[in-house]
Amino acid sequence: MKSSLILAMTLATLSAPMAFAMPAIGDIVGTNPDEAKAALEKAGCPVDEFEAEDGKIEAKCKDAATGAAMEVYIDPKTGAVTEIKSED
Amino acid sequence: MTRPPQPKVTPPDLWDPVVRITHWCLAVIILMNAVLTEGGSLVHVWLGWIGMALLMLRLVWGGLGPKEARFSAFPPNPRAALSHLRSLVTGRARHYPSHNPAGALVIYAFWALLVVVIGTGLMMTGGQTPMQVARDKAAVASGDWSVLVTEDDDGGESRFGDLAEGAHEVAANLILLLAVLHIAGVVVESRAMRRNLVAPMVAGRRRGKP
Repeated sequence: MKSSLILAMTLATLSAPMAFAMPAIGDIVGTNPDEAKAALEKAGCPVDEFEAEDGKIEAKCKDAATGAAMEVYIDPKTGAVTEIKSED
Repeated sequence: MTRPPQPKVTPPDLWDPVVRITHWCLAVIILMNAVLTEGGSLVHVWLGWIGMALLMLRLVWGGLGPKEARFSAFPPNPRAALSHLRSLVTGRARHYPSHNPAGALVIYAFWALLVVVIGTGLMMTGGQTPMQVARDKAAVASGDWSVLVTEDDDGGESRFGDLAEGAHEVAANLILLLAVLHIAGVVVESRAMRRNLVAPMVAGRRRGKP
């Protein structure tokens, strides 16, 4: 758990220069709400709430750059982002 | 009331309660889940399950119900459907003891599409009952993600899920399209046959009421 948080933070720090690089599929954001919230915020998509949907975690977040509402799906087992949708 | 000179074979003045209840409840559920509720939400899943129960009831009724509600009273027959549509144009349409052949085809198409929508909905939710879905959602809302971690997770799941989701949406849209066709058909048929087709699906002829 701790290592994934460090990993997420490292990734976030590394990607910081490209301002607001959105989370990408495969990113490990964490397997609990605190880690994932921090990781997604770093990635430029502050989370409003997490929901369970079809066996995945759905993070409802807003693209900090554009204000667009996004849905980031997270595998609760691995903490990896599996799908990203813009809400339409 | 004038009627075309026909032998006295007409659909019932009032459909039986099972036909009426399943018809209107499914209509409301379809509309709600297509336009109002959010896919994957608890309400959406609940309505889907209620719809599944109603569809099953209607299909069982197709074997056990009164004569005009049975499949045997309105067999799928594309040829008869076409000739019925032609006869509507020429103004020589005849009455049928149950649904007319064109209406019957629409009904079977509705049912087939509902099976697709319900089946793919179940695939997406892993067959979870609304109660299980509610429990998972509550756990995740309270910050516990462990409830979603299952042993039999496999990587190939997501592509399968995408397929199911695509089929779910296409079938749902086709149902809405069919509904438009269905309503148009009721209007045309009511006019051509000079008969109110809606009343028998609601409460029948109102006798002795203002």
